[in-house]
Amino acid sequence: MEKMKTAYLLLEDGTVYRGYSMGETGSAVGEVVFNTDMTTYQDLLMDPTYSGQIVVQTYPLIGNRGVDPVSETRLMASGYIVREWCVEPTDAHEFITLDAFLRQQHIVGLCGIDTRALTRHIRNHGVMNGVITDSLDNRESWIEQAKNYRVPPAVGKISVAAPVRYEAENARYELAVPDYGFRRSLLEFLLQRGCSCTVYPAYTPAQELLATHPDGILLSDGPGDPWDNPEIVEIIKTLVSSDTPVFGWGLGHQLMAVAAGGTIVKLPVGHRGSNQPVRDAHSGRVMVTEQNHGYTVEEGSLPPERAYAFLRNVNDGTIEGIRYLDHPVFTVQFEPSDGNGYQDTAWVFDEWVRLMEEQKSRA
Amino acid sequence: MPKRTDVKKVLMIGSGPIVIGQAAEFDYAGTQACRALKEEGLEVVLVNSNPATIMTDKTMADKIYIEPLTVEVVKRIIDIEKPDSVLANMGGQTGLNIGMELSEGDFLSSRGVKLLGVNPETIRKAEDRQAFKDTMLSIGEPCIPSKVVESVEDAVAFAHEIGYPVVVRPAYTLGGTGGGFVHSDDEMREICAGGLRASLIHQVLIEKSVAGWKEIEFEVIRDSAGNCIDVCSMENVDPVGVHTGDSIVVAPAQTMTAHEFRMLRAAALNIVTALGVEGGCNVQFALKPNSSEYAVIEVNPRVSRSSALASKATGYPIAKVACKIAIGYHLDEIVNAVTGKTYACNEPAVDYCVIKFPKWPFDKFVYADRHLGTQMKATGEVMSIGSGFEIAFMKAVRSIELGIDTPNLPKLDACSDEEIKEIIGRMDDERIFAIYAALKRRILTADEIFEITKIDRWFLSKLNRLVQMEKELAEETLDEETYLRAKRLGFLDKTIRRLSGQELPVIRHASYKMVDTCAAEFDAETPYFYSSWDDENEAELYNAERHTGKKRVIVFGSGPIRIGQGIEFDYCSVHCVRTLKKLGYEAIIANNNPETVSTDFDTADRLYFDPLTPEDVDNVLATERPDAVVVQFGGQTAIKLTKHLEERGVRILGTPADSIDAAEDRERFDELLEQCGIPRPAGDTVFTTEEALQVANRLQYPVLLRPSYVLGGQNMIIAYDDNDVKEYMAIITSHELENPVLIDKYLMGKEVEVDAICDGHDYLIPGIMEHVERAGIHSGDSISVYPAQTLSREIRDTIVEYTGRLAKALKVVGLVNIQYVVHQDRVYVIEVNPRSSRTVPYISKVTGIPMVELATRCMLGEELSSLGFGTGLYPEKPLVAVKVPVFSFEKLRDLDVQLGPEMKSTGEVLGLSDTFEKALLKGLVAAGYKMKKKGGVLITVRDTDKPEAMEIADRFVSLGFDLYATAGTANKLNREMIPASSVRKMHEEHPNIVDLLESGKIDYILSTDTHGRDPRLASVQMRRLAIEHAIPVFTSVDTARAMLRCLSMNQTMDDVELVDITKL
Repeated sequence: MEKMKTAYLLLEDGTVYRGYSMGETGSAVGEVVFNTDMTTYQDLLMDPTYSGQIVVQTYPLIGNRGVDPVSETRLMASGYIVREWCVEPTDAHEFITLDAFLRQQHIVGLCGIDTRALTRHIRNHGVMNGVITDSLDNRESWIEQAKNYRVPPAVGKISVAAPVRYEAENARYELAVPDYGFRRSLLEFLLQRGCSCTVYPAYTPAQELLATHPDGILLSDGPGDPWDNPEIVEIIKTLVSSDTPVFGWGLGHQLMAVAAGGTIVKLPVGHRGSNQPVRDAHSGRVMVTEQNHGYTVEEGSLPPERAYAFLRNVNDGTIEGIRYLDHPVFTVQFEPSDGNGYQDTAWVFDEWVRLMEEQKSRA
Repeated sequence: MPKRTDVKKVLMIGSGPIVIGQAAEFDYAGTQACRALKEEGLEVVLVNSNPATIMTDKTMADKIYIEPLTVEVVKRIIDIEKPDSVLANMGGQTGLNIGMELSEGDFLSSRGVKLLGVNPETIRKAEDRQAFKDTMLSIGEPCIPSKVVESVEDAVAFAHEIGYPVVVRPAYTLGGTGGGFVHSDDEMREICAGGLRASLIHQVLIEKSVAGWKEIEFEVIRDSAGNCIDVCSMENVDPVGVHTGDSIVVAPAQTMTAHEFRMLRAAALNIVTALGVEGGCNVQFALKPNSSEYAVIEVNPRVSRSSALASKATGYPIAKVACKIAIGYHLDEIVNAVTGKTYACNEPAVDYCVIKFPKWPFDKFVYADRHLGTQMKATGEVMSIGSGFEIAFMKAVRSIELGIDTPNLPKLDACSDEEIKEIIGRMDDERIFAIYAALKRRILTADEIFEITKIDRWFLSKLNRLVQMEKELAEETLDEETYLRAKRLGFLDKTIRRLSGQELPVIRHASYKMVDTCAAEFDAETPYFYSSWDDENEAELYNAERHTGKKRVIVFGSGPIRIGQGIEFDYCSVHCVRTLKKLGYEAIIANNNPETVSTDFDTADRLYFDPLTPEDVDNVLATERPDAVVVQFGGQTAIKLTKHLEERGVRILGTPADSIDAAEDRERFDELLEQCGIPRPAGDTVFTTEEALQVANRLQYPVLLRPSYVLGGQNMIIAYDDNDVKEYMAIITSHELENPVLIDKYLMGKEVEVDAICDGHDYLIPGIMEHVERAGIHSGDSISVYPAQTLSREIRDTIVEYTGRLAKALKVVGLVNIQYVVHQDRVYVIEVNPRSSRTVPYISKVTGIPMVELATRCMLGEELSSLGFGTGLYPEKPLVAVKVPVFSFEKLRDLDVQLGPEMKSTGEVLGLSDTFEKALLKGLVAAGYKMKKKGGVLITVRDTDKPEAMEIADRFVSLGFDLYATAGTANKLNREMIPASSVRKMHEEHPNIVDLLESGKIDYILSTDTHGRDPRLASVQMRRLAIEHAIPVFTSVDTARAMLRCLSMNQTMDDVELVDITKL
């Protein structure tokens, strides 16, 4: 780590952070966002929802246990910034260093900068674009590029090409999951609950999905600007009108809100980390949730006769979960989980199953 | 749920005296809790026997009882004060145990009193080993194979079943008292017997050893709605096997995968939920390296040392939140005071690395067994914060006051490679330094060290990086880039210069980063900083944004708690800060001790959590540019900075630096006394053994030997013959001798102590304290009485007069502590300390004089005469206050319990009443004496004490005690017609003194000795054995006499009135 090549992060407002190159050398443009999780780095690097973004890890010591050198990868962050990566990971015999992994995945990285100063800058001035580069020679042109940068629509690129089926043991429910680009680990929790899942390409027409008579439709999380997906919103409108139970999280939650007449706004810095507290207005219970989003459903934008927010972020009061009154629809903003230590939100899956059961018995 | 409406008046139980395993962290927790209750408008009644605490200050609670922490006393207070609730989870194990005892029977329910913060069922499930195991099994959390036994034989049988090594853990004790690792039947018999005695319920757990697994802790907090978060994870650098209080701990955990972290986090939340904890809880795990296999080690359902550390490491005030939970609030209703924007349900995210490093007493107790295991031995700790592990480690190493600025321990230089390997192979306080030496000398590779110690390779690799940096500095050209790299790894400029032999390419000051609970996600309001070597200086930005125009004063704290420098200095620092704030100054604290109130995030206007070396201090000065600084409240740690600060041209408030030197430099001090016409015991200074022997013989034995510049009687002895002098000089000259050794004639007179406040002209003496033990026993270990009981008017006048003269001559502005000895009606000065002292908190409380506030006002230029308390000797209060020292002898194996000029106590308690006997009774009960009124007394005394021992013996006999004595003493007693059974010495044939002690017939021991210290001596072993059997040992006839006065009194604790000190 000692004798490394100098590299820079140049923000669109002209701010420069000088550090060292890590991973792939060269340049990368992206929206610069920070994540406050203290132990997760590999999962974060593999998370498709970071596509088009340069991710800053606020925790300074990253890669202490090394990285599992996976062979198959999907679209990931366009850049990665840490304060210090571990040169001698504990599991050196099994795993590779973070630096080696980034090189293998062709991700441009930057280390050795004051990540706290950068985080404060983003917090104070809002999320902005930037470029990691090993030279400041073309500074003005880089700034121009950063200013003009938009996170490219990625849903179409990362969605599966053809349906993929995940069979549950003792299956009791059939779920259709249009793939906007999400971490597959979440399906585990549904399979455990007797839900067989079929993951469909994102733009699969509503009629085609409904023709399979699923017990429920799960709108997945995904990357990018939610407004880039008008076709999907139209599909969702049709899906909902069928009265098939519809669930969603992340991008799926936002697109559902748009389909119901709501609007989406960008958060100043977004919620990225695994410590976001969410409160259930009914039970008064608070759950610690894992989040990774830059947009939110705008307060008051949904017609009150159609939907109401029942989960809110304790810190900033933003909407974290919506129940719909006219259809069996229920979505959350965070990433629900039932394993790996985040059982706080396991009830979401149970609730989805309950809604399917309710609808089934009604039929 | 908002605040409970049925809670209006709360009785809070404190943790009592500072002992190893239960220290200042409970003053921190208790103080935070008092404030949390008061800000809710509740009436707070407090009981704590420890007078050195901030929580027992008049401003902290509405009613304050400095009384023994027994369940009887607490019940009486409940009947006097009629609170509607009792809060018992802030006072450590002591508070919890009392809470549990209170919950038995119908005492509380019959009075309509609720127990807050403690659910007896939760405590039972967490603390009763079998109940805990059953609970864990019921929720599928793995435990270590174990069995609760109540006899040594059952323990041995179970050990055969699961195989050695096993761990013995007593149930219901403090800090793991009496437990240990056991490898054989013989060891089992010894350690298990000790554990059974130490257990309040006579139970020990025998458990399969998981030594070598990672030790991971989680601090969890849960409210009554069931909301539950993880505040902080911590990883012990030393694997399972070393008590967490004796481990180097890093936060957050560093060497777990995300999967492992989440697995243990989930387990911690599951456990706390299953136990039904409402409040803070510590959960400890053993995690097998490179596997998902783990086991729950233990759970502490209360605030603890670990929760104090987690609070300081994250900025999340666990005690405060736990307290709000106890009175009904839920986590999402409690605003996080650090950010002002988030709530207590936001799991803290940190963006730095924290290290806790223990402070052990082995630098003072050279004969104590320094081996570390399940019995905690550290008296205190430091915490350091850095952007990386290396810088945090370097900061920690220079904060623990071993006189080092890198992990190179000079003592190890003399060790051969084989000796270094041997140290690494055993677990003691020097192992981490031996590892560093091994890496540096390339004796062992990191892999080999891992195989021996099981310390994760990640930590070893970080140490190796420091080794490489040292090498690079020594061998390569020092350019700016290399310099900055060294700074970012935590090297001081001084060290870089020394290692490289080159001038620095650039002069830089540290920048400061904020501790904000949220990794900068939110704009925090609370100014809590640590140094780093980045460009952005948040402290400077913070100050610029909030320019107040007020004058800035930095108060330097007292660092880690150690024997001789305890919580009292934190009390003084905090009061100084409060006074400065009150007077319109901006008060800034610099300190490195995570257990204290001074380092609470909202004590000062700003907090710098960093080492207290000259260079670290320079960096704070560069950012703060203070108008003045204060050193006299931070013990020797802050006093040591005086010279440096003066050289920097910083204005030091109060007593001039030169006076501090004049009081400590032997020759200057003698000159000063001469000028003032004040006598002191004859003496001289020496550098070598030969000189020492010469001077000692000239003065005539006994003589007192000590190094100049001492604190807490460090390395001080009374020598009775040439051998003592030789032994002492051999030890003291093994370190480099910068300052001479002082030899004084030892006068065995009455010891008297005063603290005075001075403004440069006038002085105010709040009270004169007299010690029960004659001179020769360190003032911190003596029973001290206010007001003095046996001094004539003339003597008192002389003491007041001398105090005035000395204060003036030394130009004291602020506090001064003077110790006198009265010998044959003549007053001699023994020691002058121009700074705050151990006795300041208790005298402040007893006399009602806010000593630190007055001293601070004087330092800022106010005149004593205008402060409302007058000058000269303050009128005596119509009460007697007896301070009784408390020791942690049962935790420090091989340490001789004989008291002498070297301080050994870890804490103190206070007894307050209208007569000496009653106050003493309270003090002794508070210190843990059972006050048995019949039984056996063993007497074995040195020849010079024999005449007085006769009188003591006679009085014990007249009270109905049976006497036992070793041959010489027994003969003498019998000749005086005092019945006493003779008992054979330890090395003689059985039955001997060992059998007698084990028989349970002995309730008190009077043992005085000309020698001591060396654990090979039979008398030292006998006293140690007594400690293992929890038999009180008096090592001075004066202490025994005082005990007799109490025993002869017709009253018990039940007859003595309880005192609310706010009404004094």
